[in-house]
Amino acid sequence: MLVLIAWPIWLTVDLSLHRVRLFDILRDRPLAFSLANYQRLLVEPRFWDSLLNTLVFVVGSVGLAFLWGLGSALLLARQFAGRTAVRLAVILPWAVPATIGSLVWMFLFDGNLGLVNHILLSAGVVEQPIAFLVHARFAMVAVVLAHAWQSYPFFTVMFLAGLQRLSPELLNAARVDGASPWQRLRHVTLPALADVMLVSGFLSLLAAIRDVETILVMTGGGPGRATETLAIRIYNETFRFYDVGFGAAQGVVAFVLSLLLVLFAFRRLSRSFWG
Amino acid sequence: MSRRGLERLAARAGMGLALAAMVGVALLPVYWMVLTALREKSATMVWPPRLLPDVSELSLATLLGVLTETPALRWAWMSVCVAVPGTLAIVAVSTLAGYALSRAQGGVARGMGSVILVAKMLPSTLLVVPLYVMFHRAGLLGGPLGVVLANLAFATPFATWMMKGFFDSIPPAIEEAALIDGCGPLGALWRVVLPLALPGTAAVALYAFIITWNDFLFARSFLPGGADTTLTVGATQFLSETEMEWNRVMAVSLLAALPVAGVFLWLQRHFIGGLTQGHH
Repeated sequence: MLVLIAWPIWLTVDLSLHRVRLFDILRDRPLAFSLANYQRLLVEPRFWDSLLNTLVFVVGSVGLAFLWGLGSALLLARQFAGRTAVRLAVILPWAVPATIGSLVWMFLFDGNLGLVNHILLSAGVVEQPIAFLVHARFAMVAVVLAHAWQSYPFFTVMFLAGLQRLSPELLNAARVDGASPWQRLRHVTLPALADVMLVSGFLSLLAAIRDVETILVMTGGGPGRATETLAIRIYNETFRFYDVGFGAAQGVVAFVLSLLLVLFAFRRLSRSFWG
Repeated sequence: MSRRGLERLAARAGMGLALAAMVGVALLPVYWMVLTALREKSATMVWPPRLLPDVSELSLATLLGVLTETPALRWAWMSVCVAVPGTLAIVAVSTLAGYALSRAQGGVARGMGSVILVAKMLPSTLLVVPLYVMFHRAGLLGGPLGVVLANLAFATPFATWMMKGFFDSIPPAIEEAALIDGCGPLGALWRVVLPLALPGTAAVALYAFIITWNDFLFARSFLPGGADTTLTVGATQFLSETEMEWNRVMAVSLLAALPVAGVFLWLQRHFIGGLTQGHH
């Protein structure tokens, strides 16, 4: 396992320190050491754009998924007829492959035939159909929504499990003490979910930073570079422009960012992982 | 009706509406995919789109057309060649690693825990490049084996963590008893511990199957494409054509989504139990 994980990391760092194109590696040419990739990275506005896009995409989609997952879990934890079926229906997006979900959302957001436009038009929200994936601003909204749809069931399931461990006595005690439903939610239920929120939120953040499927399928990073996140940029740089060294340099940056995120949360997390 | 009764009724209605919204958001895209796959091309080009179809416009013609006129069946076979060996390999490796990790003393377990965390952060785009180079040198590009190995590298850390959670819940006294009765360590694992960990193995198998079947990035990077690729990549290939054939895209999507959705519904109890295991 160490080989499969440590060796790619080492190779990436090594690649990022050379000016290297895909063809060079394939022919095993010797390469000169250079920091050019990192210099280029820092001066280039495009790099900061892709960082900003990553931030918007990750915060937007994980935030939405978090809220939707929390809301659905709180609802689904109550007793009602047909609960199992409703639960299954709500977490069904989980079973849809990311690529496929993205294709479906691409169709839903289509400017000419898309269902989303039809719904917006009928509701009177817009007067003209919006070509979501063609306009820079809307394209980001579209990929964020599509990714949130794919990732909220994870939160639903985690929060449902967390709610099951919440002792009913505690809620009853709060009710007897005269706490309103809102106060019970705010002071009893949510604090009990804190650990689960941290772990699942953290895993989802990492997954969103890594995500390529949604954006690659729906926009490829476009229009222009409006939805080009760091992960997409790495992919494009490597496999469309064959600039492996530059792609690897950004990979190192992405990795370091994730590492910082992990260190930030590590104490709490390691307790949840191993405690 | 009393004021209290009215309030309760309003709360119930509100909850019903909220539930309907949740279910609607979850199911509408799936419903639209299935519906589009069952329509002829002309029916998908209509504006405004009809949410509720006439029974007469539904047919299997698009699905059959995709199966006979496109490489969909070859894609499906390639998906099987990637997913089945991949799932078996991930289950085998993560079972052994998870067991070792569960029974190891503090320091090792903690160290491996950090390795697993680090592995979870690796962007898969980042794995793609070095693996591409490795597979090129080893001559593994173009066949399913490279994709299988890449998925193994990608999915094993989390699978191991899941398996560790299951093994943790089995008291070591059980296999100590087996050792005293004359089993070797592997024998004890195979005959005594594994049968107890079967629900966990099922959960990991489902996780591994979902990862390998749904994989897009590795299949797209390590396979030649065209007819020689998996369903998930194949579904996106219709998009590069000049005319969008949404009914065909959705038909292939349906084929790609069906096995996972089927297994998911079949095993959902184990899976949901398994994913939440290990957290506490």
